[in-house]
Amino acid sequence: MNKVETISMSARAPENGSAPLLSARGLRLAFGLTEALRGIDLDCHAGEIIAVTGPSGSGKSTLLHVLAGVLVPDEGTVDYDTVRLTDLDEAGRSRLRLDKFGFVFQYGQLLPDLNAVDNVTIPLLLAGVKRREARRRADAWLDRLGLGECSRKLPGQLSGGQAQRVAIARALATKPTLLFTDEPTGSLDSLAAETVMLALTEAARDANTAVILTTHDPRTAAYADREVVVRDGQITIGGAYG
Amino acid sequence: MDNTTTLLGLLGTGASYGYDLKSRYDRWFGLKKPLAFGQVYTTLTRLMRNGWIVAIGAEAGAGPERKRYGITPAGRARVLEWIFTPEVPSETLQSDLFAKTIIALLLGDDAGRLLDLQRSRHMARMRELTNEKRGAGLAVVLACDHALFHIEADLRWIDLTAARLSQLQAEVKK
Amino acid sequence: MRLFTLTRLVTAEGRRASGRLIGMAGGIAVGVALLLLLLGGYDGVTSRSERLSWPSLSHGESTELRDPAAAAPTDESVLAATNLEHFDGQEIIRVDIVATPDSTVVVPGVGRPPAAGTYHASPALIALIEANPTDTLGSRYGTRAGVIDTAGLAGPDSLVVVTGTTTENLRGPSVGMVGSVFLSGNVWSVTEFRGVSYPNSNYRALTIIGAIAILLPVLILVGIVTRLGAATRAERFAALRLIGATPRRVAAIAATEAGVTSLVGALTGVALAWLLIPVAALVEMEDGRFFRADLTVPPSTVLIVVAGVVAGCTAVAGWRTSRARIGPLGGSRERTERRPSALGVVPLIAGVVVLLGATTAALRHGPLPRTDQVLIAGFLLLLVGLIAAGPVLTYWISRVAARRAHRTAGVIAMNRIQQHPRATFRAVSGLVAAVFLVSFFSAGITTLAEEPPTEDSEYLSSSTLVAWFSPPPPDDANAVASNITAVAAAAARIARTDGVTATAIGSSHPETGAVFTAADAARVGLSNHDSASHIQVTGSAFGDGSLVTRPATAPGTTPRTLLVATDGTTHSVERARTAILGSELRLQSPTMTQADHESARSRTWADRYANLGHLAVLVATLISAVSLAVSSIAAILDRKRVLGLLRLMGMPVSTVRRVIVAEAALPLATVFALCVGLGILTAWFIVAGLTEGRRTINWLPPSYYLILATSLVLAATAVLATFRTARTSTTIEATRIG
Ligand SMILES: Nc1ncnc2c1ncn2[C@@H]1O[C@H](COP(=O)(O)OP(=O)(O)OP(=O)(O)O)[C@@H](O)[C@H]1O
Ligand SMILES: [Mg+2]
Repeated sequence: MNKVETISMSARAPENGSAPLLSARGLRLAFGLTEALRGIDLDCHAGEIIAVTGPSGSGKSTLLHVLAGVLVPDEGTVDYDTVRLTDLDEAGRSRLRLDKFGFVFQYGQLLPDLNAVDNVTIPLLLAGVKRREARRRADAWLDRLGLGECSRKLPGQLSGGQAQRVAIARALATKPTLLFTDEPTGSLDSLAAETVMLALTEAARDANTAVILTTHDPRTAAYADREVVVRDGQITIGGAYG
Repeated sequence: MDNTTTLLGLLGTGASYGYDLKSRYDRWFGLKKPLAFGQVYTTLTRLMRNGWIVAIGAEAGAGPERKRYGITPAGRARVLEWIFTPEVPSETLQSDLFAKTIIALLLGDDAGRLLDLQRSRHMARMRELTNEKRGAGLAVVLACDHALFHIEADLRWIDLTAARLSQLQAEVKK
Repeated sequence: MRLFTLTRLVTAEGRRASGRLIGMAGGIAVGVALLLLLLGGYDGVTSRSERLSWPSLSHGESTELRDPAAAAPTDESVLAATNLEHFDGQEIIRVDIVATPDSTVVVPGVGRPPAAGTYHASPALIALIEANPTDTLGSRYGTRAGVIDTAGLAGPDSLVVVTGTTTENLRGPSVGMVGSVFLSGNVWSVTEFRGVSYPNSNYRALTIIGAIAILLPVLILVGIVTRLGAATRAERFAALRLIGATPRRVAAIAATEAGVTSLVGALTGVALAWLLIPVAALVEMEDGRFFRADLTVPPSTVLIVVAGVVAGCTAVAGWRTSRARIGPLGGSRERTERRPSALGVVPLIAGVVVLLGATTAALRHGPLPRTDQVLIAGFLLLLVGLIAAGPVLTYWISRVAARRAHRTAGVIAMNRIQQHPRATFRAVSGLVAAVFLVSFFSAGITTLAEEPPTEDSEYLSSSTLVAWFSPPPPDDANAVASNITAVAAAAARIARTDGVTATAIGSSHPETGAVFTAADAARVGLSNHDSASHIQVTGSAFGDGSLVTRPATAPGTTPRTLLVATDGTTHSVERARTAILGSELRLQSPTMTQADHESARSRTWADRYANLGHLAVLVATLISAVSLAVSSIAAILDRKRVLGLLRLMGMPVSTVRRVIVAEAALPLATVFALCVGLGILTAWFIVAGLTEGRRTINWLPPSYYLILATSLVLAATAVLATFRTARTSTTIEATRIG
């Protein structure tokens, strides 16, 4: 803990002066001989939207997974609030992901057999919400994201953009404090991407949810408050100091 | 594109005759429209007036084509300042950025850094435009989109160039 | 050859793909092996029955003789009578033949009829004769002249003896049934001995039902196995289509893959069947074990089976692929199944109606022509109907359940079932068939349990032999008189036999049964509660051997029965029996002890099928458990990306496990009660229909519930076995493959 604090203090204080929500220091991770992460420092403050960009294979997805506690780094620490994520066991990390984090991926994340509302209710049910209440909240979220008419459709009957917004509804339904999204607009055209990103950022802002997203698309990255560029497993622009 | 500073930058790699300077310029930047001799000499005169270059080792009074030119420390500083000052994103930016990159590579300077700086500048502009779009009327949104797409094109070029930097470096070294 | 190369590249690359192909080939191998064994068994039953049923005498060129004493053999015909004898609880078929020295009649397995006083016996009987003192068994038959070879025997365990005798000594044949051999109780004049493939069409009905019972789960397994990894393969095919392969090309690749895999599987199956024949030959069915040769399928049949399986698999794979219309977009837009139509329950209802109709008709009006075939058809309709109705019922129930579910796993599983009722039901359809069959067979087998003896009936000691005589013509006073003395003399001789403790002659009662004096009754252990001077004994000669005693007054004169009490050792009993059989007594029925009756009772015809039934259930349940495991794994693999992403979001593995359990449990629970009920009902229909109501089913034995519980445990094990896959295939890696 101490080490993190000293480093944070040496960093330029964020505008609101508060401690970061998520703070990563010295992350290293190798898959065999491939060094996917080579010493990464990153802070994310409450409600902040960060875009992680960089060439393909530079380690963006890996970074996201490590930050979210899906992968465990070989070296370095990730702190969420007062919890040291990298010290938790798999069950603890799962619990944290379920309670505090939300996830949106590029495609194919909806259960094909469940209609839009039911898909959105899944994390709520996992969190112990009653089915009826979960459905009510899910419907409200879908309405908010302009999907009222699609709520009874199966994922196979939705367009990519609609499916992506359903995924956003699902990710935000549990009111996470931090939303991770990997290429949320990767398979969408400009307009669909814009709709999705607007929906995502507006909803996240309203809920004061911080977002860490990876993308190849500068226009998607432009929705973020700041950009972090990863090259060869290192941050070349952005980083811990904002 | 800023021909003046580009020529100054080329001189930064070593003193040279006006003619050599022109052919080196043409090699990198004159593919479509080679530089006219007259333009080279007027530019050199301007550079000399600003104290950024000096004529070396030539007998006084001889024609400009008989002179070798070398860069002064002030000239060098000017080049560096130019290279590492990100441009305001605009539609005609690309050629300038290209020139900066080549010069930086020729000078053995950190071309990656210049691209990064430019990238940040572009991203900042894109964020501004994206924010402007929020809740704005359609006309504004369309105007912003137009600007965004152009900046994005630059940005993509920057990213691509950054990715090819080592390749370009090898080319330049030849 | 380009096609083969292409197929190999597209379908056989990677560990997962080869696992899929091995699974497919394995399933087909098991299927082919069982099919060959079944064909062999069916063939074996037929040819064996043809071989062994000749002692019935009625199937060949033969005529029944009304007055055997007046008949004489010619060179072209022999006189023959078949008797049932016992030895230590085992049944021996004894064919007595009277032939001329130059007889041209051929006795199956023997050749020329044996000369008077000599015998031919089956190897098993010879072993028995040699293992026991001559006066307990061997002396019943005379001198051995040879061995009956396999052409005249059911199997290695058959106890058959063919003896040569003379017209005077030709004993009165017994009435009854030994396995598939009917004893008509008559002497026959036979010019040609011949057997019959099915002594009784009921046998054929049961054999076919048994075979179907085993085959159905196998077919289901093959169906499931050939669908393995369909989802990942569809993606590969989609990629192929994207780069320009025509739909026909893709279908051809799928067909080639299936063809090659099924060929490998079928050949493995042939080898497996060959290896399993010795094991299968250990299974007792109907008339005991089989000769190995009986179970061996001729090469032509093997060829036809292999070709058929390969052609079938190839055609189905090609057809399925071209029908699936895999577009370049592949599985990203997964089509949902067509909603199952309510028409699916029609075969089920039709099956019940057919069975009900045929059975009521048989009960009301006696046997109708082809009742057995109608019953088989009904059974088949019902079985197919259950499988066809399953998805419909599953769909209906899952719709309700999907609305009601309130846990994550429930919502995921119920919606999955609702979208894929056929696929989910297919996973448990083998088990459903097994439960139906186990109920059917168990209920059918209860027909064995005879009614309990009436209250006042009693049993003689199990070491007391009972011999019933044929009464002489009552109007012939001379014969009656000489009969009395002859019986008395024989009884006296028998009483002197080593190990015999007492004998008692019962004389004919005017109404029924025999009358004993109180003294005789006491000596052989008959109860005499009222201390009457005489007691009347009635009882079942063929049934369970129970006797009913009541006080009587009028002592009869004509001897009717002889009771021989022994000291109880096997040798004493058999020695006494040999003495009785060797005497000049004209016996009406086999001489038996209570112990013989008891072992005979456990060998009724239904029991002979119990082995087949148990085997069917065992195979069906095992295979179904494998099917269930395979489909559960496939169901998870098909969704591994999504489930992996959900786990990444923090969903615990236990939820994935609960999804698996729910997806297996709902369709099973839906039809479980239906299967049990219909299975028992069908057994009643068939038993009652085939016997015109003479037999009926009883309460199911505890073993049934044990089997049922075992199959559920197996199902649970199958599901548990998939838990590992559920965990390992939904990790972060799964989400990367996209
Ligand atoms: N499970 C893994 N096993 C081995 N190598 C891996 C694994 N995951 C990632 N890598 C390697 O790590 C590096 C970073 O991968 P990562 O997926 O993070 O890149 P990325 O920046 O997300 O790329 P893209 O923009 O194409 O998605 C790559 O070189 C990749 O090959
Ligand atoms: Mg990635």
